Amino acid sequence: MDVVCRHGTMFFFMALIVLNAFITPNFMSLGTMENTLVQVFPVMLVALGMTMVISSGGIDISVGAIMAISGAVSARLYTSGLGLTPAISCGVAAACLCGLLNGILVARFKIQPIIVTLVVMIAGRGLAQIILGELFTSLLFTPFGDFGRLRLSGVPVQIVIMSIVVAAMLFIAGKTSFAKRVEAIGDNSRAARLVGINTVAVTVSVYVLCGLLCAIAGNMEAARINGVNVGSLGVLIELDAIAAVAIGGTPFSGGKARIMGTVFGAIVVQLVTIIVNMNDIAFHYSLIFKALIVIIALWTQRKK
Amino acid sequence: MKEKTNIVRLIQAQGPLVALLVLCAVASFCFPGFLVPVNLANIFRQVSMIGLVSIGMTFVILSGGIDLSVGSIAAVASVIAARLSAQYGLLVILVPVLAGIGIGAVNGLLVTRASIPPFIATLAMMLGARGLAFIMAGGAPVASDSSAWLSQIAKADILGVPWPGIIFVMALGVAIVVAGHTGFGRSLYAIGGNEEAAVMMGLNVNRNKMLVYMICGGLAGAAGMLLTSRIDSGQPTAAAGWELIAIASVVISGTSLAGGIGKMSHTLYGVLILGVIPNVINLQGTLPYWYIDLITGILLLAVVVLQSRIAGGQAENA
Repeated sequence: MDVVCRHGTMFFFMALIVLNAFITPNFMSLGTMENTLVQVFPVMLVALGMTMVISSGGIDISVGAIMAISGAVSARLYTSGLGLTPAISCGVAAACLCGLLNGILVARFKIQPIIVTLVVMIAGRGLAQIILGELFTSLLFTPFGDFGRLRLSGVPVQIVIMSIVVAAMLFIAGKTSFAKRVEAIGDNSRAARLVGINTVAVTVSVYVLCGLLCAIAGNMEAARINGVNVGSLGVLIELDAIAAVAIGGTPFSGGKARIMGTVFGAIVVQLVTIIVNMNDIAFHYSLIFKALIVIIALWTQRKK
Repeated sequence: MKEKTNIVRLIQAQGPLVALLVLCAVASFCFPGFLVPVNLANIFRQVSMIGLVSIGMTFVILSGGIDLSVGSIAAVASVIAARLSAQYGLLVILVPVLAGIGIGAVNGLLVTRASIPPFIATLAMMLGARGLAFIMAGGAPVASDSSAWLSQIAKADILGVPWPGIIFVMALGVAIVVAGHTGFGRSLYAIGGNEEAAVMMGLNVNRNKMLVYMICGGLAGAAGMLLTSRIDSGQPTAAAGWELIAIASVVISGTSLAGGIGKMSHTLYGVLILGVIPNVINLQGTLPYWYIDLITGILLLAVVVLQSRIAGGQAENA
């Protein structure tokens, strides 16, 4: 039982795979696995960014809105004639600015993260619609859209980028003093400051990093679905991301970032969606399953 | 230390009210249609549902928690009310509220017994209850009997004051008394202010937390019931995002999300402010609806920054 508690996430992951192998037709095929990994891309990236933010003791529920803003900026500039790379770069920059705003409000103005990111989320989605100028911009038949279907040596570009990001995050979280400082702030921000950690700089960086990952996720999603729909890009992704982090074991009060945990957590969340889809179960059951998994995951992780 | 002028002191004490009055003054100046009784009644009717939810949210936040599931609870209640609408009588009001209390109780159990942080517990419930609403509705909106008694509640008024508004005000009145003048209310402030100290003082923290989530759930249930009454249909997709508006109302009203600080009466101002903004944008007529979000967000931002400035001298430096 103790083993289950300590490795709850892995246990879930394995259990879901085994369950699916039995009950879902065509599950154990390369196509399905490939699909899963491609579809989990946005949640994975956002959840990784969220992991660091939560590790610092904060939260970021504006991630969906930041994705929308980033997509809107890129799409608007691109369809107005700007080249692919400059347009996407501007989209990324816009997202980082949002992250910067979040970070400054939290660290410098000392406003609680949930309020800051709630505000940015409310204002941000409205802003995204204003930027795009309309609700939907199509990127069909454009190099932007084609990028979403690119394959490198047969492997979808999403999987390649995702692997690079996961590797990078593992490095950052495991081997840099930055991560240690984030964790220190999450554990006890006052003590961290007294010890000489530049809490403002570190906190801002964590939110900017999250914004950056949202930008990649948002633009990639836009490319994959051949368009930017500000009404739906990134909507509700904060829930899946938070669920992924919760399942992954990063403490919500701040503390050690568990990157691999989040990786498995994101896949678990995606697997629930897939089980439900491929077995013709109604969508709302996926919500209940996700909720149950989050509760069970946290229950096994609680401190006695 | 600077001497505070009377004006500054007034703003600090009654910030949200001042903000509301300024907003209304500007609105009535720019839009002659604003201060008309029909428009005001409309605003009142609109905010009464979110208002009920905000009251419950205030209780929970005062105690140091949060409840993200209120929207989903309202949806469940809405579907239940629609299914029961053919019955006359108290059942059709009572059952949705009871359902809300029940779901709230589950929230409370998750927080107190399973020691799951309220944010996550109610986030999970938000997903779970939404799923439940879909299941109960059979996946599609449930038509409510529009000739039934239930349907009248939201549409009737007394002397021009809409019934939902009256219900909201009555609930608010009770809430203000409970929060400010009962032992229970004081215990919430204590728990929110410093939970460990509250435990050591001998307060029954677990029981009070359970109660608070049950109250919040019940109020959300009532709001859902009113919603069905208003639109004559129980929609499982209803009330999405209500939790955020409720939290925003509470924040604007000066209640701290950390718990222990705030006044129930100020929630009224927060709710009204968030009701006036969409109304004004409507009156303006030319701005697309998504400006509501942007303006609400900026306003929230201004309020929150202002609050942190004002509280800067008093708050502990983290």
